Amino acid sequence: MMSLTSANMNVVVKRQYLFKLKANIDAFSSLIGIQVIALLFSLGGMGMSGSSSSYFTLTVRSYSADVVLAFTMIWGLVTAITITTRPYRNFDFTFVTNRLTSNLSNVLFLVTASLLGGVTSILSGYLVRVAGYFFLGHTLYSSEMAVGELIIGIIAASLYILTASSIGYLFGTLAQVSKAFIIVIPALLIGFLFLDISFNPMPIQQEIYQFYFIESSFILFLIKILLTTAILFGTSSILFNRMGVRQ
Amino acid sequence: MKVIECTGLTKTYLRKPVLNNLTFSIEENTITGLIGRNGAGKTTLLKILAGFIQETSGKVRVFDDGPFNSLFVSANSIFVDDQMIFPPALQLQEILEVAGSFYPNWDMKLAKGLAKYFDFDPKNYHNRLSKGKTSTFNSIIGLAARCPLTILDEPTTGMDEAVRKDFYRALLKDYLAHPRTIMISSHHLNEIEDLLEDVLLIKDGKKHLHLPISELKEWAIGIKGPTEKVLELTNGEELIYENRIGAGTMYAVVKNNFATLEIEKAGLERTPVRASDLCVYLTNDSRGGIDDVFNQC
Amino acid sequence: MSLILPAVLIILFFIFAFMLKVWRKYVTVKITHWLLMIYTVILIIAMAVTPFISTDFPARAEGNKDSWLDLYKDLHFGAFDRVNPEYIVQREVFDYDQPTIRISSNREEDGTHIYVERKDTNDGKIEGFVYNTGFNINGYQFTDILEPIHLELNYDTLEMNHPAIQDVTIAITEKEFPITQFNGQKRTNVTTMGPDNQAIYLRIPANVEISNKHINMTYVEK
Repeated sequence: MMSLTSANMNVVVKRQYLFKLKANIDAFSSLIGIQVIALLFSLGGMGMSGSSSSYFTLTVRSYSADVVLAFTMIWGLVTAITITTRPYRNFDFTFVTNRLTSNLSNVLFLVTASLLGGVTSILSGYLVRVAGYFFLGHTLYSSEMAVGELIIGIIAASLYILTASSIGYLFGTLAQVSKAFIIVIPALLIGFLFLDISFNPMPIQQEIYQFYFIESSFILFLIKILLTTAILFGTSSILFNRMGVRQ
Repeated sequence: MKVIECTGLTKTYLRKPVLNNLTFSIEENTITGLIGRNGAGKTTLLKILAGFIQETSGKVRVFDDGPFNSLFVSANSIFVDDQMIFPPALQLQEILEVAGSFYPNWDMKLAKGLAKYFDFDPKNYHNRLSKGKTSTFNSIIGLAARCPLTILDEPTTGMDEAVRKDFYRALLKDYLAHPRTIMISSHHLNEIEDLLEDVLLIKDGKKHLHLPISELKEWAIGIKGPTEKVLELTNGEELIYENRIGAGTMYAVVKNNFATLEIEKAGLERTPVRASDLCVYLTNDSRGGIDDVFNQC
Repeated sequence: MSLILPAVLIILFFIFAFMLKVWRKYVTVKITHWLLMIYTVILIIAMAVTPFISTDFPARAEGNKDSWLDLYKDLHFGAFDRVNPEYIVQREVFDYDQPTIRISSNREEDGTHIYVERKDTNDGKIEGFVYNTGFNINGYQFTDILEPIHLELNYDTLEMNHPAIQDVTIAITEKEFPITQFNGQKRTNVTTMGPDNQAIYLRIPANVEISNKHINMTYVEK
């Protein structure tokens, strides 16, 4: 008798994670593509404001990687949706897995992707500046970026991308539960926002904005994001846990 | 030791039973052929055993564990069919490497040897393979993984004759060298007949027969002769298959409950029934056809 | 122009994506690793180069954020000595012995704020100040970016010479929002900039008449 292998969950998750890094390598190509587009948007006309009188026109262009980060968040969302689709789920079940390890390795992959997205989007801020200086010939006024700021910026950017991907992951999983969600979720969201804006003095998106984007304490922000992503990933995991695969 | 044990296994899709109260068990280190017509529930059964989908009711044990969501079952089994998909970003050689990282018994030498023999370009991509090549590659993975439970669902789809023969030969050789429990499904028994030890015949989601292939070969006999005499002799027995050949002559297949002498005395001809033919007869709906399926439930 | 560029690049991106797909179909070489590596190297180079090409922000603006308001108020009440000396871009003392003076501009409909203080004495000297508060952007005082008005005395005419219409672009780098969210810095806000941020202050002896009527002037209240 062939000896049976006892399955260690950590080992399986680690193997799946390494497998996913290889399998989803195209996601990183599209990351670069998205960021390059965003960089050109940043150069093309973002952050412009002006003032003019009859004597002069003053244009202030601000260079930052904000647009790159926003695009990267969308990328995170789309990447997360992609890995919940049937073919990607089935990749796991070709080899050793159960639904929990599949989800855990997906989350690990998304964390990695978010970190990479966070690092590249914050660093691409430098590329925006260099391109603005060399191609558009501007004098660049800038205040020095402290190392601490850079690190906090990268972590916070990664957390934003991770949040976007946890939302995408839940959407994608819901869409696998029932195709109806593909129409229902966007319809609900749009309808809800319109209703909310018309009837509510404090629309929900403003509350969301204040809850995450205005939070000035990094520790509180970290806790909020980690809780949010944990809830979203956890919900997805519970939903997926009863689902059949490769059918 | 029993590797697979099913008791009253039922799976329904939208209240339509695909598997209906299936009870059987499979011993370790056997090759079992799962035979049935299209839609008999072969694939559903195998996917439940692999833990891909969940049974509606009844009990399934694989390695004494419920297969659905069992990491242990997943680590010790592999499910091969032509729907097996791999990430499009991975080259064939990388797929073999990844498979090797997951399965502890993986034999890379065998995998590479087979891939080379069947003329695979290691730098090719899985989604560029033709149908037959896809089946061949997937089967290589199934063989080289050397999982204690190897499930092959119609593994030869699209393969040409020569490759089929090669594949079955490779399967048998590797099985003899490294015994394991293999379940192989097919709707035609004849091509895997020589390979099998046991046959599990299912029809309309129900177990019809489960017995060693040697017994299956003896299980029924064909009786040929004048119609009246055949009917007289087989009076009360269920005719598994009947064929009226010309006027007054009839060929009938019945369970092997008759002594040869008795048949010869009646002036009838007794012929053995090939296992593959028998399976076709058994799985054919002799009376109401597809309606029977619905009337039964 | 600024819209065409991204549009062209989006199209290029789709072509690139399509090519990647075709590539994947026929070519077995992997390019993503290379792309990633090249991109990372470019980003790091950009990071290393940035300190050499950037200019430090000018000094922080003091007092009222809209410094031109302070300036106008001070000048209005003749408190020219209270004005931040950094705002003075030209200071002239012209010896003058004519009975009248004409103030002219090289621009029609000059809207520049001119404050005129009549001196108590007849000291035969016209004093002229040109002030420029520059612009307050993000709390930083940008003073030197516009070429100021130049005052010149030409016999009995005080000429305000404006430079040609100026088109000035300031490029400032902004820290990304995940950084400014926690470091307490504000984002760029240029909306509160003043009208033209310049003013002229003239101190004219008591006995000198200002002859022209059509120029807008404010006589200071003392």
